[in-house]
Amino acid sequence: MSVARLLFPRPTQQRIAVERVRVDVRCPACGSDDVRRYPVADSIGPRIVTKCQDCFHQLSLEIPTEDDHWPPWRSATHGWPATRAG
Amino acid sequence: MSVQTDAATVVSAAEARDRYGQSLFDLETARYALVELARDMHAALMRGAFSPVVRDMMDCSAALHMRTARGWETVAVREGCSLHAFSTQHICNFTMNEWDSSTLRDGDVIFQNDPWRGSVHQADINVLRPVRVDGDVLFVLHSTSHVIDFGGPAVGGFAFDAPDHFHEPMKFPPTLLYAEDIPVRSTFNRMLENVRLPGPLLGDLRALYGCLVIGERRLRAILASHGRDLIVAAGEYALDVAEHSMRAALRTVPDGDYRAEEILDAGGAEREAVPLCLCVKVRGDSAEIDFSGTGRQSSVNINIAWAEANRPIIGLKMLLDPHTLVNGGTLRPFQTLLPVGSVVCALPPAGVGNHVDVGIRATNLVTQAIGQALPARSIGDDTAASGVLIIGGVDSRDGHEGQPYGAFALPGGGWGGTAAADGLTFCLPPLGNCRTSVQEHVERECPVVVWQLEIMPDSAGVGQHRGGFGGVFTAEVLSDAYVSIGVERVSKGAPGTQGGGRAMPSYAWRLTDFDPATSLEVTNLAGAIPLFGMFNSEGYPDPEHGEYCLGTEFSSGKVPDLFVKAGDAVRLVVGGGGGWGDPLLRDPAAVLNDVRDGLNTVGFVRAAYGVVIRDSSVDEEATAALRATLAADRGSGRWSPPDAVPPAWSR
Repeated sequence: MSVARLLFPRPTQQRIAVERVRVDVRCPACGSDDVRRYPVADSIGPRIVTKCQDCFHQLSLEIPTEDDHWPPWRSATHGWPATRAG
Repeated sequence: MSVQTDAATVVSAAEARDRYGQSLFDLETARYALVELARDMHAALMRGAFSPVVRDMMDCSAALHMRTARGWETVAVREGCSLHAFSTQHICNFTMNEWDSSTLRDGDVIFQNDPWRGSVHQADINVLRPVRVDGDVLFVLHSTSHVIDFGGPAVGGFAFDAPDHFHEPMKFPPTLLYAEDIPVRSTFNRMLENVRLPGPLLGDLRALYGCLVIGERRLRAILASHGRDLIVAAGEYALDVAEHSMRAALRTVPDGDYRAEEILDAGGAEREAVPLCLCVKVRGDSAEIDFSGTGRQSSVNINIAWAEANRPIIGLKMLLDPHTLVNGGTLRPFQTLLPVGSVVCALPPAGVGNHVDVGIRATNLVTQAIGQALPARSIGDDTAASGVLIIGGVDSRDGHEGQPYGAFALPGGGWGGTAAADGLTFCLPPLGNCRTSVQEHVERECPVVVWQLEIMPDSAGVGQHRGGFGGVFTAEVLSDAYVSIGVERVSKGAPGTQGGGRAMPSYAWRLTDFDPATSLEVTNLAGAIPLFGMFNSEGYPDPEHGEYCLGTEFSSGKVPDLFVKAGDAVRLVVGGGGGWGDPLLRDPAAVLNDVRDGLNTVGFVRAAYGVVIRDSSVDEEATAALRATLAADRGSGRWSPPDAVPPAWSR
């Protein structure tokens, strides 16, 4: 439903963190096995990065998919056909 | 021939030819043509705007974005408000990703001010003009300004303490403002019929649009004279120069994780203090700014929707790479982690209108973090407040009856001391760095008399290099008025660094039956009703031992809409900046100069610097003895640099 991502409750936990999800690959640059995938604000906008945590070598930088929920909110008319007025 | 920034050589002539297919000379010429285009747009915006917040205070910016392989990148920007230079690229990307560019025609102009689409807050409105070249939308011209009123509960746009965005100024998703250079009536009607000051808003909208028309005219002239290939190459080159400079500067920081945390003053009905923390992770020539651990979004509108994605980079830019022009390349080395539902990534419908408190403190946290890595570049914190004070209402003076008005005071506070010098006095923090109002314009246009706009004595954090001093702003209203105030650092002043002391926190009073003959002595509180501050049981300011908002009208430094009757006044004291280094090492001659200039009192410098002044001279023998005593007391835990505040108050 297009209005499903317009309004959210206030979180209940007092402090909030970004989860860095471990990915089972080795960093091709430094060999570290600490590679993680997580949402970031890249210089262009919201992205999902897969990145070595030791040397910051970037394995991928992707446009978020629906399932990534990043950012969580979106336009009420997401996916609707555009008109001349928007 | 080669081009250098502060940190490194960017490119040689041969490399330029290989990489961009153009001569370095032509690239430099065209790069600055784009910069001049942005400057020209900004100058036109300043000249054309009606709101004092734009016309006088320069809270406005102009940018040129170009479509690259990465997305839309800002190739040139002229910022009046520094944070715009860092947020403008995201706003363009959110807008252009949502708008179907196949529907665009020449002369179309899009409006948006949605914080969840990159806008800083609703009162900062954005106007974007896509420019088609050979049928493709290749550039976007973009102007931004704060406007004095865009609806909501109070004039000024901050809507302090609003519980959600429904109680804030209007919020527009990308919306067609001009179609082929014809104003879209429905959009203008929606805006102009829902604000208190439609005249200034219409003037500002036309100025924002007009500067884009000038920008397109100039852009097409540049394209005609230099050719599309060179201009596109120059845009890429401009981005690379800024990126190269920022990355070279980051390489001067040792790899590591640098953490900083502070607590924002309590806010909302539950007075829940908000922890704001970040970790700057530096690896080689790139960095992350991770806000994990930050507190949940507030029940009042100090939240940020998206702007913290890019604004903390201001702290890194000012410390590490201060001279290269900002553009989208500056942002490339960074990624920011924003915890969803926290105060830096609030979920709708959270209130997000008062963006400055978190924004300024986040910049401070970045400079604190980098100060751990590079102590020689550390800087005391700033006031964390611009001293937002807005007076609005309907004029009741003879000859002005019925005229709505809005006056904006932005007196600013102090910056922190550095290894090189004392902090700047009485100016806005780096986050915005706008100008204050032209008070003569305020008095001419509004029923307001600005009686004081001056430095607050004893407000700077002490140190070998002291912080900058904060300010006093006192205004009398000649018609009944509503006043909004927004400041942070009410419970504690700005901290110093490297042994420097805390600055004075911020205070405000309502002055009843204001009389300039008797009401202008700042430390005399006769007739002064406290609005917020740290007070002792006698009602006098006491930052170290007082109680937060004891006996005050408000429970924080956010005053949403205070009714002030004609003939009364309000006084805002904005605290100073934190000090740098040991105050007992400050040159006594510098201390004496500050006393002679009226910046410090004799009693304060004795207690805080150990400098004894008698008959307008330093008593060197007594000073040496007192400093030795204070140093010994510090060693045994009986003395530390005191928080800044005038020592004597009366009624």
